Amino acid sequence: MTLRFDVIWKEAPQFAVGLGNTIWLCAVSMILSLMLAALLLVPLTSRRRNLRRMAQAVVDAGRCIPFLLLTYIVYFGLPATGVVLNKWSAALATLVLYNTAYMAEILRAGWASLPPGQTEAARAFGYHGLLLTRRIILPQLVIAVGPVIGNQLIQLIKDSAFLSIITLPELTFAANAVQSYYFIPFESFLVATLLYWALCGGIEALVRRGERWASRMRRAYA
Amino acid sequence: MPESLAGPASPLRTCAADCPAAVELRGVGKRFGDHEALARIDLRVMPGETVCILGPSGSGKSTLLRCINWLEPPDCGAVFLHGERIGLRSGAKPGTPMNDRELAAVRTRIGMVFQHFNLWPHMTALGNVIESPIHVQRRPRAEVIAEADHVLEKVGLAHKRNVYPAFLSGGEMQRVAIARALAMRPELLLFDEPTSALDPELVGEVLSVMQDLAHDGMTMIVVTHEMHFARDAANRVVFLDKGRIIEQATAEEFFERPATERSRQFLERYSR
Repeated sequence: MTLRFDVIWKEAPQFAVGLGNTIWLCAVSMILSLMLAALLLVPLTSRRRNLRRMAQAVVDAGRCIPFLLLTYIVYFGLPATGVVLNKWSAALATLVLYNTAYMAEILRAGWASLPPGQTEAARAFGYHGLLLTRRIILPQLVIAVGPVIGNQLIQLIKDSAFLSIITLPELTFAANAVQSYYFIPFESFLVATLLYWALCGGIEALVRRGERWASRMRRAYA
Repeated sequence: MPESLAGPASPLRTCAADCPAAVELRGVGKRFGDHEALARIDLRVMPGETVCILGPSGSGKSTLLRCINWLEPPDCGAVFLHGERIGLRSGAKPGTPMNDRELAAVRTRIGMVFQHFNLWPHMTALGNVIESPIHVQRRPRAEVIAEADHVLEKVGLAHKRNVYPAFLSGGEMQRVAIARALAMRPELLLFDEPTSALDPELVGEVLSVMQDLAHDGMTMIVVTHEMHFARDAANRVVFLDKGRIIEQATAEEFFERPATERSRQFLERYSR
């Protein structure tokens, strides 16, 4: 058996475009879902119990639906209700929706684990409302859950492979296109796997470095 | 006498007899469920005074402190800061509770130092000190930094200005916390058992900073178990038990000639 990596090399531009699309889709949906999750944190930590329960139900519903099914619903199901999205909007919407649910749950758990003393000190020093959240609570949340957010990003990158099902030209789609044209499934999928490993490995290294830094910062909690 | 640690807005050391108290509590009470934490507390602290609040644990000392800056809103009674009512409005709509913004404005005038320091871990020592003056009081950044460096030097931590709390010892963290409170130019400083969480060998450095502050005429209310500090630095000692003030006296009187049986028992246990 001869391995045809020369063909892969010839098709490198297609892999590069696929990898690029995977990266920007995941980066943009990560940022958007973090912002949405921060907004969801308000009802999730509200003092009003009904509001809190409603928000929690929405988050749980989002977390308990398979990603592939959500993709089907957004791309194939929604047109029946009159909402027609092209594959790019559908992909982004699915990634953001799915990921927001996880991010909101991560932020809520982090918020619940924060020691109350720092927030109380901030109140005693005249903080309240948005300024309190922005200057004191959110930065501590990053220290508390930063590594978990990194892990979730890795999960998101792997989930994005399902988007090939709606012919979105991301990395898995590119690998599939190359293998079916030249009949070289092993080479093509191996290269895609190596690229996913490199991408996720880089994030993993950052996560580890971040975790070391965060665990040092957490020592300040007496 | 050392250069004043207190900011320019600190009250003068001497005060005419008729000037309003820095803090006044009238009939302040607080319950937690069935437990009566504070029962009709009356207390006046004059500008420049250092008052130590002593008492067994669970006697309501911390609750009393937290009722002053409304971290714990009292159930009844009134608290005044330099004659102004805290917690309830006086101007428009008198008698209605203050909202978060109004309470925050009052709290910027009262510095607080906590048992567990409660420094913000994502900021350096300097960052902790300048944070509230810049973002809450909205004072000019350059001026605040200059003043913060001065205050950090006074608590002996100029060389640690760029260090994160995680890399400071307990005593250093507490001194940064004191610097953070001073940088607000407070009219009053509250200390909630500031040395209770420290290793014994680190207690001295914190107490000596507090002693300097007391000598400089900062108005201070200190909840503490440090009898030596109370004896040396306090103008007055308030002895609290089961939410009631049992005894109030000058430090000398209280330690030499305690008036009640309960305070005698307490002193015996703590001087052993």
